[in-house]
Amino acid sequence: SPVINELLLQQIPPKITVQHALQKSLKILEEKSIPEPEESVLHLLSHALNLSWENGYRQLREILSLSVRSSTISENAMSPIQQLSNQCLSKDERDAYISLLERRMQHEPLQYIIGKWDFHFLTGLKIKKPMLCPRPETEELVELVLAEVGNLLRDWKEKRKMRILDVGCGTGAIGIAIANKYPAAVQVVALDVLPEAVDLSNENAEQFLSRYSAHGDSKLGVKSIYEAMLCSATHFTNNTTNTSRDLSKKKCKMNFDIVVSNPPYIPLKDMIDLSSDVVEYESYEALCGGVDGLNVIRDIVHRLPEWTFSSSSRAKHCWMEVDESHPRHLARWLSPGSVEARRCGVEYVESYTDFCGRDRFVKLRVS
Amino acid sequence: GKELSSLSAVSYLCERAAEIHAERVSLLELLAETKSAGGEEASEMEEEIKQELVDLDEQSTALSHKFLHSLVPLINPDDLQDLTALDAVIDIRAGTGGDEACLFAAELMASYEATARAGGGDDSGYGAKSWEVEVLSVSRTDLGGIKEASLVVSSSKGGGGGYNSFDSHQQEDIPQNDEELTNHLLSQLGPYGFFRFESGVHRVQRVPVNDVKMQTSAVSVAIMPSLPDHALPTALPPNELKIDTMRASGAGGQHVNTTESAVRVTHIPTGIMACIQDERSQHKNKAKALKLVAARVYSHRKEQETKDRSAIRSSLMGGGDRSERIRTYNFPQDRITDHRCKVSVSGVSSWLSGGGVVRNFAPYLYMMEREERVEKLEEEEIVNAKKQSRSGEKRKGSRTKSSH
Repeated sequence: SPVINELLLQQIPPKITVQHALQKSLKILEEKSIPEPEESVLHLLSHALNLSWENGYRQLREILSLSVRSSTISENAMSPIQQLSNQCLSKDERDAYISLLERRMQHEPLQYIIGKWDFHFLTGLKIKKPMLCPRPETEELVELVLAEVGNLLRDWKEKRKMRILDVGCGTGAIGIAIANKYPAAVQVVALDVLPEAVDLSNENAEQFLSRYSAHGDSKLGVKSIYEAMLCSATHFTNNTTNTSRDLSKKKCKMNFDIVVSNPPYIPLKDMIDLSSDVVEYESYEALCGGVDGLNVIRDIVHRLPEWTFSSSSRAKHCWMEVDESHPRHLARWLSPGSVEARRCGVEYVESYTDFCGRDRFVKLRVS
Repeated sequence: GKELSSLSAVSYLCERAAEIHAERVSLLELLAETKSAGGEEASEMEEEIKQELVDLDEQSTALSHKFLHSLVPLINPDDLQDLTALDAVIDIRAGTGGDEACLFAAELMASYEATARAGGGDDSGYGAKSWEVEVLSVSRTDLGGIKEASLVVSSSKGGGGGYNSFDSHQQEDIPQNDEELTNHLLSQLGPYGFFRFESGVHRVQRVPVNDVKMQTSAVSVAIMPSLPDHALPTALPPNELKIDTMRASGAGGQHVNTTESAVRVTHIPTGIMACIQDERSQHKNKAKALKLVAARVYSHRKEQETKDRSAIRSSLMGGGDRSERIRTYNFPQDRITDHRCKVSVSGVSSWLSGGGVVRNFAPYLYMMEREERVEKLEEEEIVNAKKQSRSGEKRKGSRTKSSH
């Protein structure tokens, strides 16, 4: 919008200092009611100035809290923070910052504007629209699965690697975070219905996991740790009567030890309440799970026995992040010993709360 | 190797004790002969011999001290695991003195960081181990000072001394002098053991920039052991913790996309808390906050235990009193004085910037702490001896009675 552009050009003139740029832009974002205005200016200016990924925004945060007094100290006596605070933006830096601010003022998510973010112990995970920006709750899902992987590894007697299926991988965050912790022990297969998600997941896998691959050709090596494929939950089957053009040409061994998913789970009626940065930029398919939010979850439950088929008597679990309303529905539907549980071959085990005390994660068992 | 060297130290001392005893016996014989001989020459001889006996007594006292010290190790065996294996959490807080205190706090922090990165080694790199420093949180002032900061110093070998090859060779020899004793001690210490005696109030006296009058400011330092990750769930049971995040309101999950990742962890029983916001990953912020809270809670509990147990006089055992004034850095007089061991060094700036302060004072403090333990042992010995003689008398008494 030309009005916004005009405002930014005026308030953030050439040769402006870092500190003033932060203060001015913060005021503008606050006045326009942009969510998380402080985080926004810190990360965007750090990006425009090409500061260190680890420390840039931390330094800018300190600068924002410095008072004007610091400008009276002589140049030599200044600390690095004070020097940065008084540094003037070059023309290119100022122009870059203004374009970034313009995007943010349209409510575009910070992670999309910057193109990457941190998730769990993955530093600089690439993020592109419309794939869902990983949420902090999902870090807890990863921790739950990692705990199970750790337990299983203690008595692991199989000669093969532990196989994990990530349904609806998006950026690849969940599967890659798991593989990052146990690259020698696990093999992750990841599915998504969006070709861009499959590509992005494989790209991120290359970035984080190629360091662990033993082969000369790193791409080949990474596939032994992580591979994303274009397929929906329902169509991920070797049963030829159900094959459609969605399924990858090669057959996939259906002997997964753990299934994990952060499926689209928002009930239809809640979609209207979402803020604009979510609903206008992030993929609808990655968010909405149908009327009750359970559509994709049902698809997963129906395929679980086939995915985890093996001669071993070891319990196979499915871990999912879900909507708050879901754990009690699932507990009823798949109550152990019930008709439905026996028909599906899947039982509800228990649910876990997230750091806000909301029912957020469920654990199912293939019976 | 270690056991052998301490045993050979003791056996060496036993030999010396035997030598001294033999010499004493022969001198006493000589004295007796000289006395009976009589005459002026003889009385001169007598004086000489008496002087030699006095010297011998001094040697004997010094020897019995050495004995006690070789039997009582420099590192308290009760704390051995903690002091050699655990990482350190360092809390620094500016106290009285406003901006000056904050500036000095920043200098102290830089000094500790330099020392930690050098692995506790000296300027030549001797004794250096592979340690990492992570700043968990820092709150800075306009003038480049810090109001407070928390750091973790960790041994990348997963906690522990991490010897370099020189040190492990040293182990087989008996420490022949104080320097070797110091190096041997320092080579055993992990980050927590190395920094622990920095706990307390550090006082600085200097003329602030843009001023003429000298000012006294104070900085508080607390050194706490950092519990390893696997010990956290036991040390901090989840039901004792309150975790606050920015996502508390609203539906959370897929409904909301936020980047504010600050986490505050509060330990409900003690009220101790930490708030970390400097990572993009909320999980990482939570991990850092838990580490801080665990260290503070552990340290708080230990302090309570020590207060309940120990006598009224301030004690170095258990780490000392955190609010005690332990060291003064006097810039005009260019002197650093540690008030506990009463040791002073000159060259404040170079000691601070070089980061050698900790390494310099730690050995004295360990020796002082050992003195306390030795005194305690001696006191116990006296008490036990009294008990025994009383019961001995009782027995004698009853025997005498029964014999009647």
